[in-house]
Amino acid sequence: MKGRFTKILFLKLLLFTFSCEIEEVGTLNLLTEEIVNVSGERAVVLGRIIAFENIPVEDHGFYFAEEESFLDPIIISLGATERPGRFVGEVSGLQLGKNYFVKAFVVRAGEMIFANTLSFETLNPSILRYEPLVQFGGGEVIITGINLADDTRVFFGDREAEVREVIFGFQVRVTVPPIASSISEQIRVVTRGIELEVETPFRYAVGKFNLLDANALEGLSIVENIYFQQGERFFAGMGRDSGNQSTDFIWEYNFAQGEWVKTGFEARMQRAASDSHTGYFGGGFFQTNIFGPQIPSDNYWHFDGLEYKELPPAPINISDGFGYEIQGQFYIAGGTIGVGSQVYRYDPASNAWEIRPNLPSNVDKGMVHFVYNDHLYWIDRDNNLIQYNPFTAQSQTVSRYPSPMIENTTDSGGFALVMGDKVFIGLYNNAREIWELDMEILDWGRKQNFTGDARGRITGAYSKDGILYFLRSYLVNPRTEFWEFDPEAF
Amino acid sequence: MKKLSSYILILFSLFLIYACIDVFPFENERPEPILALEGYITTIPKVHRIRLSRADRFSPDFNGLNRPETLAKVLIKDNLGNVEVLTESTAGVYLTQENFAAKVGKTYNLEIILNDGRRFISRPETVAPAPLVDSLSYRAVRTASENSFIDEVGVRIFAHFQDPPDQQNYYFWNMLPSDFQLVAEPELNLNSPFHPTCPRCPNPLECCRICYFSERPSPPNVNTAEDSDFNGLYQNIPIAYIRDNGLRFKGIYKAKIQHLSVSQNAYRHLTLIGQQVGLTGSVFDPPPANIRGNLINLDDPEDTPLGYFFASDEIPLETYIHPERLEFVFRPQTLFPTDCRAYVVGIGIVRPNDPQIPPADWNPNR
Repeated sequence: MKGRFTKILFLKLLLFTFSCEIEEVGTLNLLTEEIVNVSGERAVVLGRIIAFENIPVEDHGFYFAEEESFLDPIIISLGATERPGRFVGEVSGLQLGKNYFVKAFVVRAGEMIFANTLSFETLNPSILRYEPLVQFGGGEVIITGINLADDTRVFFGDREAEVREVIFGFQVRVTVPPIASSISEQIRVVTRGIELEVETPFRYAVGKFNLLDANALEGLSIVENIYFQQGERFFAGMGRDSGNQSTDFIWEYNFAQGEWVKTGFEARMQRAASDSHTGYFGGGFFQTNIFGPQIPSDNYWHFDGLEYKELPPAPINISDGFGYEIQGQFYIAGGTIGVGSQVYRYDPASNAWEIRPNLPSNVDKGMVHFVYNDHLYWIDRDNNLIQYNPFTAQSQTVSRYPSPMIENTTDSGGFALVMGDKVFIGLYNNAREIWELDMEILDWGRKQNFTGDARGRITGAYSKDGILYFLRSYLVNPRTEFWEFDPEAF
Repeated sequence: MKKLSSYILILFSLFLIYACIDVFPFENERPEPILALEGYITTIPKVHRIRLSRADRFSPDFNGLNRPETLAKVLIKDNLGNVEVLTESTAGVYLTQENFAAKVGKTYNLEIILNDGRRFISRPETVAPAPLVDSLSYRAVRTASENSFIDEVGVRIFAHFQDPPDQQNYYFWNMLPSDFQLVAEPELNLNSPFHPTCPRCPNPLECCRICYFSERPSPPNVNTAEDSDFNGLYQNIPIAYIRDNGLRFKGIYKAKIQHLSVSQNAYRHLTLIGQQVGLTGSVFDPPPANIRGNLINLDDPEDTPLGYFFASDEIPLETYIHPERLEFVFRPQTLFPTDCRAYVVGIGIVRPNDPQIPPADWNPNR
């Protein structure tokens, strides 16, 4: 009897067990699995339906809300599904810097089933940088930051700029509004109602050109010449004329009369000479006339403001080489004949030349070069701005000239004028661009493009009272024009 | 009667024929090419590389190519919202900027927008710090090979480091293309078999005996470890193995290895990859399988892209393996009976301009 009772009990327990299992069939577990990614206004969330058979649900997705009670939720509905597995929810348009809650849901047989709740915080926006720092009105500036929403607006001062594109929430392309009353404006960015101010003020690319003399230098179009400045006196001359006329002179600009007049210095036809732009010049080729033989010249002079003093002959023939003055000593270097990196120095104290360490690469006069803080700088034909210490013979590339150069077209000529910590560089042959280089931070700022005929070459460059002056010679309709450029005017 | 039987037979045959050519409703399931991802980022500032391709079906009847996934937009985002946009250098290869580096403690996602509009995002990966390796050592090892008469000989490299006791650590050691001295025997040079007067005649050369080349170490092992068995203990653990092919260790070999910290999921993925890479065809091998990565298709969660994007703290390691300091090397060593400059480098390895000049960072006597 006892054994029978035990058997019945065991049978009942077995039935209970089976009945439990039958009830389990058709159930599902729902999981809000992981916050995959959160940015300023967007979140990506993973959810999962766990079941051991296909369970059709009418809808599934996620609830997002700022309160855990989900009173006013943003519902991401992914529609009906029949199979268990992972699903992805992506929400955008969230408020920046807010705490949010999210939970997965399914609707099954009309019943809403929710999963566990996760929380996350959307990120705050900020501005990292913008470039270029200087641009024309109507040009484009790219502002880089983090967590910028699609509704981002940008203001230059009080004027709103046209936002062309918000790229992946970290870059904004804007069109700079036309210049108003100031060359500098503060940039403000408003995204999802949050206002951000950019630290560095934006500067407009400005500058105004004025043609002073359309036919300077007596109508000649001089090339391969030298030019220099003594105090506020501008000089240019030697070289040759593109029309094969003699240019055996040096002219000086007379501000009172507004014209270039010949000085007492009569040079032989000496072209492709090196000059420091400070009064030292010489070398290159000597020709008796434009069709005569080219004889390397070792004649060098120095104009001290009063007279032209002849220097001892240089121990090397240099044509189209660099000339530069550092600490009162005159250097000649490179050129297109012989070794293109040799350096010689003239010391006025000893009235003698001496050889110096070679430059790290070949240079010639077609490369813009200048002296700043007793260092030589030049821009090679790969746009690299190279700094060279003449005392330690160490060199390094410190920046790049921003405008593209076209080989044999716009990669030669140009000018560089040092004005305090700023260097104005540009107007290469057949090019219009002028840049302002801040030597302290090595930042390039665009200036207004040259408004005259671009198909010319610089044959003189000077500065006075913050204004740039330059001579530009033309081979077509041969002439030399004299221009002034106010870099701050607009 | 006989005629009737013939008719019945023909009719029956016809039935049979029709039954044979009944169309079986079969559809060849040709899956869409799957996105495959290769690449990771580390804490070393450099150009980091992500490669995207479309993994196609592979079967005995070859009918698919792993085509590069071109013109995609590839972004790396961190948990603060910083975005690194990668640029495509060659087809399907996307590069970060030169100075890009992951930072320890930050979390990264890779986001991909394909040219056809499909969007993918990786699950978040957080960079854990990698403990410093204080020493490296190596020793020659001999293992049985399929050829019972010739054992395989190789060099196993060991890392010595203190495993941090306060955290769960997962390690991955990745062997990089490594430099080695190729020792040749130019004095044993022979004429070519097509020599007009004396084919295969001895023609000793004066140059060159030693050259420097790079190679991708073989076999391509995936070396991983996790510290559940040795948490907090000082370790002397094998991190790389280089097979001696008779040529590699005739001269000095400079092994370059990345010591990387990885997440638990990345470790699991890499370990499974290692198992697949190491399949030998024996009955003890795991079955070949597609290993799920951490990419999610934002538009189709059923999609299963391949590959795993992870972010690691990297400590670069290198060691010079001197043949005279090895217990033994593979015998007989392989002869290279001509000018060492005739060596052909492997695919993807840049051939040096002048193989006789050691690499700039070659310094075996330090």
